[in-house]
Amino acid sequence: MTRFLVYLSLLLTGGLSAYSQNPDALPQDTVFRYGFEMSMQKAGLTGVALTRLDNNAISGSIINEFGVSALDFTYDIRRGKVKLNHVVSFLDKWYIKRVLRADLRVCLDRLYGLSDRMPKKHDVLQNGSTLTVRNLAHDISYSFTPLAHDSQQ
Amino acid sequence: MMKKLILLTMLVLMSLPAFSATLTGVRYKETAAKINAAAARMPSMTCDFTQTKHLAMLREKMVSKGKMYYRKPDKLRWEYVSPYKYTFILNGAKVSVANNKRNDVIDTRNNKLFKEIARIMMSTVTGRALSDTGDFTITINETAPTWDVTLVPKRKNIKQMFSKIILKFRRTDCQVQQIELYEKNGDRTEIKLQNIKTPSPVNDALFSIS
Repeated sequence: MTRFLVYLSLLLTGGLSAYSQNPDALPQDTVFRYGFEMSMQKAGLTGVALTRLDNNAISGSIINEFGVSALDFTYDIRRGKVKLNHVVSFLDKWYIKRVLRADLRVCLDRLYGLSDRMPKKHDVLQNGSTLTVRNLAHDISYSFTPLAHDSQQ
Repeated sequence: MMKKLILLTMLVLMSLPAFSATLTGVRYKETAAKINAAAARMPSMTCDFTQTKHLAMLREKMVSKGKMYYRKPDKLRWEYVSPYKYTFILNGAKVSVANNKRNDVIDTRNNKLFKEIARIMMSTVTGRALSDTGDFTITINETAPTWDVTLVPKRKNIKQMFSKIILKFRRTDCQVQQIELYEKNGDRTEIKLQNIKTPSPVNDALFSIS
């Protein structure tokens, strides 16, 4: 019985330490805005990424400069799952969405300080205030640069 | 008694919805012709704009500001100044998109997507969209200050981007005042044009694409 309890507490402790930061301690209901750039071999996307943490889930939208939506997503932090709610047509292929879901999780974990884990075939670079996550296998990079706060937003 | 009757009448009139009517038949044709003629006559235009993106999923809005320059028939410069720097230039068949880090030049003859984007931008800001009956189902709603033209896309490539576009024209001079873009995911973008000057001297250098 005692051994079982020790194992159980180790399991629970190990699970909690997977997070660098407790999601419950992060600012809830605050929208963060970033200048966004996604570069692929033959295509690219620039615009703005907006994210909000709400009850252990991060909701986000990526729009281009004209305001046209490219992606809407939700990241369930506890389950570690990203769901794509809306995808622009040229990204709307199952094999692209699979990569996007995995890559967005890496990006959001870093942006919110949720995890320091470095998945295989990914690279992270912090250059000043710009965070860049690279998927080395598919040669895709995602850059996030915090936008200046506009009091009229 | 008379005073009470007058007050009651005023209250009833004030509670009526703002005047609005969908135009049909001859009225529709005359109004569409007026707007088309004004757009065709406009040699150049400059204005400021405020773009407000309403994000349905985040329950949030994003405001951007910039300047627009137009010269007939095919030169447009759409420049964002805050909170990001981004410039879109259309000059004939060439499009240039530039931000702080990169500058891309696209030939619309080889790129259908950009050709559509360029055409929609040009026809909405100038008001020429009413001629695009092949691409849109068009209705005109008349209100006291404006004609609100609703464009519902017919073609798949535009339908994928927008469920409808609404252009608001000032009735006094058929000038576009506001553009509203509705997307399938519930998002909406409003672009308000301000400090509109037409005609307006516009330097060639503003449309230069290198």
